[in-house]
Amino acid sequence: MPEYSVIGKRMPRIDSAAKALGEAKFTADLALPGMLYGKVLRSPHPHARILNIDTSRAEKLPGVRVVVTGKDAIPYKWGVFPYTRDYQLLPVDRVRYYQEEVAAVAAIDEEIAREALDLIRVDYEVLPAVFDAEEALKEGAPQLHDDKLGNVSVRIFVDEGDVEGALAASYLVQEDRFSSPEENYCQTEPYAVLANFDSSGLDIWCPNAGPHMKARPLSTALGLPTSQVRVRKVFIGGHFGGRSEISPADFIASLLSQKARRPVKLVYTREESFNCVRQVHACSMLLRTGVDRDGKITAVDTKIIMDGGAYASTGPIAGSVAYLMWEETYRMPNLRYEGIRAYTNKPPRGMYPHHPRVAFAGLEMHLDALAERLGMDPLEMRIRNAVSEGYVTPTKTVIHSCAETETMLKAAEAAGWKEKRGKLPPGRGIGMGCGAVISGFPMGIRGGSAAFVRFNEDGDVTVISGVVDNGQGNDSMIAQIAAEELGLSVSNINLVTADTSVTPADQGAYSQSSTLLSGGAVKEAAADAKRQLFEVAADMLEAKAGDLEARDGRIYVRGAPDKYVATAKVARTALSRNHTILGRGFRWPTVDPKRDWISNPRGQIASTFSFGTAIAEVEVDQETGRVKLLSMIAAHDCGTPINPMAVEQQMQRSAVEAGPQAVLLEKHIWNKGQNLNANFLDYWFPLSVDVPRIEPIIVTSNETFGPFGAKEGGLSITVAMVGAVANAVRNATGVSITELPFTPDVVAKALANKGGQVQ
Amino acid sequence: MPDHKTLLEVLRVDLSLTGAKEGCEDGTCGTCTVLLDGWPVRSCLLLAAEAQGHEITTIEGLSDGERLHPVQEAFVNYGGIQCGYCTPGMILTSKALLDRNPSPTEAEVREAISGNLCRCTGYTKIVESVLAAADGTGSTVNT
Amino acid sequence: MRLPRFHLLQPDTLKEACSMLGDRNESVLLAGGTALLVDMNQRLRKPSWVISIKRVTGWDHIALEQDGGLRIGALASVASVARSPLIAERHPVLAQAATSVGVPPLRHAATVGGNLSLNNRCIYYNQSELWRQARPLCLKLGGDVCHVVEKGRTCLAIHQGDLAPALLALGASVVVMGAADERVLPLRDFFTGDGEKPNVLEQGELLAEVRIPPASPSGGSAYEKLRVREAMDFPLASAAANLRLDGGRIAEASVVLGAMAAAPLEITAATTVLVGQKIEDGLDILLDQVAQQGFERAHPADNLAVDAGYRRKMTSVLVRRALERAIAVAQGA
Repeated sequence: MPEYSVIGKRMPRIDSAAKALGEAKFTADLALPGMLYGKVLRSPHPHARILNIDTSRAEKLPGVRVVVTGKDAIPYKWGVFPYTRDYQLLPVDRVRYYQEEVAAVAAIDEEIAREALDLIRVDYEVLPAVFDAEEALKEGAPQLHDDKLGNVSVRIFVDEGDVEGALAASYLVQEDRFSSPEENYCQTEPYAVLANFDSSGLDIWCPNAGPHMKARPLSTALGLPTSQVRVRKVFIGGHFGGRSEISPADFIASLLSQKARRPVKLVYTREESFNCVRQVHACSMLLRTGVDRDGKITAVDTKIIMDGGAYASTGPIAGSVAYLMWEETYRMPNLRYEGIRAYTNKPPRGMYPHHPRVAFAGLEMHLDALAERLGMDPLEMRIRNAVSEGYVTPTKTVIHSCAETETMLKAAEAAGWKEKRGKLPPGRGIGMGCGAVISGFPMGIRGGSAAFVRFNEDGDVTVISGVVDNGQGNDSMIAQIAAEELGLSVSNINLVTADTSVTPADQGAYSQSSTLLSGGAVKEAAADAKRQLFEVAADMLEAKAGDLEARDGRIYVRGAPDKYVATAKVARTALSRNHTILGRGFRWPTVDPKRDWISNPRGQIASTFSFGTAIAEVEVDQETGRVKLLSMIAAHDCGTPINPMAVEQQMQRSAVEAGPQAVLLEKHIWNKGQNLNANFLDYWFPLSVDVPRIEPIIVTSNETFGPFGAKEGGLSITVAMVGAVANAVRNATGVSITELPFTPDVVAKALANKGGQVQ
Repeated sequence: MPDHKTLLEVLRVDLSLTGAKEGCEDGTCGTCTVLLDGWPVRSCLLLAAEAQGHEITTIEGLSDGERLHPVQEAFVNYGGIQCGYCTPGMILTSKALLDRNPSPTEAEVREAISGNLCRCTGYTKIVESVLAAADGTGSTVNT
Repeated sequence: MRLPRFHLLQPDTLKEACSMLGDRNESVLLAGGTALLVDMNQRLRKPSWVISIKRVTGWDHIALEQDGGLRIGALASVASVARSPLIAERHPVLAQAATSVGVPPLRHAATVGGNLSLNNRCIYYNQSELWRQARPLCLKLGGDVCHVVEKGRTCLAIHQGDLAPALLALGASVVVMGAADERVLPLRDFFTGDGEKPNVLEQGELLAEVRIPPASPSGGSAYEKLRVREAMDFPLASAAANLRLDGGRIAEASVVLGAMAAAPLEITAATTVLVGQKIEDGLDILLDQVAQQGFERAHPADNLAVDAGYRRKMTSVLVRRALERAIAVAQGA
């Protein structure tokens, strides 16, 4: 790696001090003069026709300013894709899940708003409901959407090569059925919206993963030009895939504000945050994996059924993730994948980094089982099947920079794999898993990022970018990139980000493309500004622009560092010559524009990929089934780390999301369509005492597309650690447990049944 | 002041001290944590009237003007902060621990913060931040 | 989340608190707030009056009596019990039970009296008002339906407190205070076994003190708690064991199960099977017998987040482990 000034350096994030001081303001912390408080009335039925809503008594309650129902909204069904438009953000005639929105109130204080809800009379005609995906797909099941026969939200089908033939010819085949119930995002910040509608349009503050992604649907739903919907910058308390889409809360708060002509703040309870934004799919999966005598995968065949809840959300993407991650992690010449996302009368389900957990636990447990049957070290199995630079996947994606094998070796060394695997005392186990993650997938006209770099009068810089920071450190990332490119220090960089009134469009913080595209656009913009600076500096130094460099706040002639001028001075000089230094740049993913999730799942899916290997060690109490995590190690190929501390943070978060959360602890339980554990007492969110230290290992590779060779920072571990912990438990118990999460009762049952288990 | 107001509401609404957050309805998340006579308490489960006569420390009261308290500094320098929502509660709880136990073990740190939920960090760098504050290395960036 | 409106009174003495409670039907006692205020957020309780006893002093003692008995004030925090060297040394089962409650800030606020008089819990009861409005009222809410067992007529809500099984195993008694008088009763008589009304406290009464008989120099005790996470959660099942040795034989033994029923469950086999037995190899079989009775007597319903069958099976594991640890303590003493 070349010698950079700030790239590759560990540094605190630029907004950490504000957060440590308690100054950082999240949506619920904001207030505007004349602000009203909103509350939402919710359906007590999981499936019902709305016959009539009488809001007259609520409207008359002193302190209530406005009451809205679906009838107050423009008829509009939203969807992430044109072919998934099924979501009326405030239902008019039908509710499809328990606690779905039915009406809303804005009042001068919260208590009055809450009282007003009790005064709204709704007449429902209760309809039969269905709560299980497989049941929903059967003939005769209650239909959720009149235009989606059989409750099929999305069907993804990929069939490359000759899977049946390859399996028949395989030396060994492993077949299992895996299942997992719903999970949830549990962002520490409950959902909240502040909307302010006036004659200039709408200003809205809300958690998001891409303000531009919220502006467009809001504008359509409210009947406003998109340019008059301004999604503003705010501190966001986590997203993890659950806040990227427009939420009914966004729309309802905006509608209330539109009708009341006053700011409206709508803050969700934790229960509402669990149930009324997004959840994570429950899944069941049938998986067949074949290998040859050398342990090389011959074919992977799967059918996965996902419980999507009442609306489509990001269905096509969520339904594709499993096979995409598989084929980018391991060579598999033959691949067949059928993913069916079903509608049920439950809250809508969205994207989540490690999901579906059955897919990653399942394939990894299969590889361990097959390795065992072959008498092969699971590490050796992974190495033999690893992808590498230049590999072309079954669906015709080319892998670019890739240090996957190195992550395997480094993780194994740090974990003491060879010393431990097969040699631990009874009840202890060690397991590994690998994963790959896409960076920058096709998103049509909204798939790219653009940025401006502006030099200010004092020589400091303001970077204007649509990138959003949910806590993963994106703001700091682009500040470091701009600083490096311009030869300044991070303290010279100011930011205006994630504000649709000012910042150019950005693809948003999903598809792991913030570093690649948002960072890439900022680098381009900075380079453009630098070119303009160099023109002026060349004149001042009587040198050629092409011979100049920028570093440490100076512009100097390459090879003659004494011949320099302060960058700030150049910027001022430019102004004195009536020239404003203003750089611009944009970056789009290099993907196959003809690739489509459903109709054409073939072609380059992403500009690049990151890779990781995780290893976990556990101890299982053989009587109670309780699993204790002893250690977790993660090695991740991020190309070049912009800020190693930030990459480590992402890796550690990913490890806890994948291991303790997905494999060991988290699930929702239901009764008659009602969520029984929409709280942190019965939904087992890992505590500080539930996890060990996570040891992160950063691996570099020769990435050419990402800015300074950087790829996404850490998410491969959300895939890899699922397999690692699942395999560690498998190693400790001697059983492939096929029901996630491995809560003590599940493990105890598996241990009790061990005698009859087919390995 | 109405009897039914919690300390958290009074802090956030009446006093505009929004450092203490609301995160749940049942005292599990810890984002509302303030110090009452030096001890971490759930301000959402304490009536404002009950808090009268006691010394309340909020996150805003920890720093000295622009100078960060050593615990705040350590969190910044050791990567113990990501989205920042759990941070005020986490820092106050950590400070209270170090005031009572200046050299805690890792297990003691984890136990002390077991009532503060964090979804972003996986807890590793939070623990490292607290230990760095304890041994004085928290004042410089963790390289 | 906003609390419902109420009037607050903050008496300086427990007697005053009793009078205030007795004079007002729609009043409740607020001690630590970790249970009551959550119930009020969920609108399970909507009292017109809240009597906070945070200003009362003199009732948070952990005091050693001359005869070696312990008196613990009902306002002593669960954290102070967890930290007390006196209790750790004499009654490890109680120290362990207290340490296992919740998380540190909740232990700091929660009181001994509050934990003993915790309302019984059920996953269909401990939900928000919004959630409960979607269903007919259950038995515990004054309705006529049980959501756990179809057509059930008995409320199955469970006592999930940690201190009760430990204190029962120690043979504790409690002081119940009213405005006019006080009475002492064995802790086992404090619990009713009724899911809807778990203890005998009437309007105007409160718990003032817990009294534990003297510990024996050759005694040992231990608490085993089963939950999914390492902290925070209420027990899915728990077992408290207390015993005393005399010349290499078990002279007294008691085992109490928690989180299995509407009241903690005493396992009499501890006495009938173990008393008189020598501590030696072969004791294992007897421990298993006691554990087996634990399993037989426990009939948990599916009203927690984990399968009742599993919880029931685990009682025998917990009983055996608690006994083994208690014996080890007694032998080491």
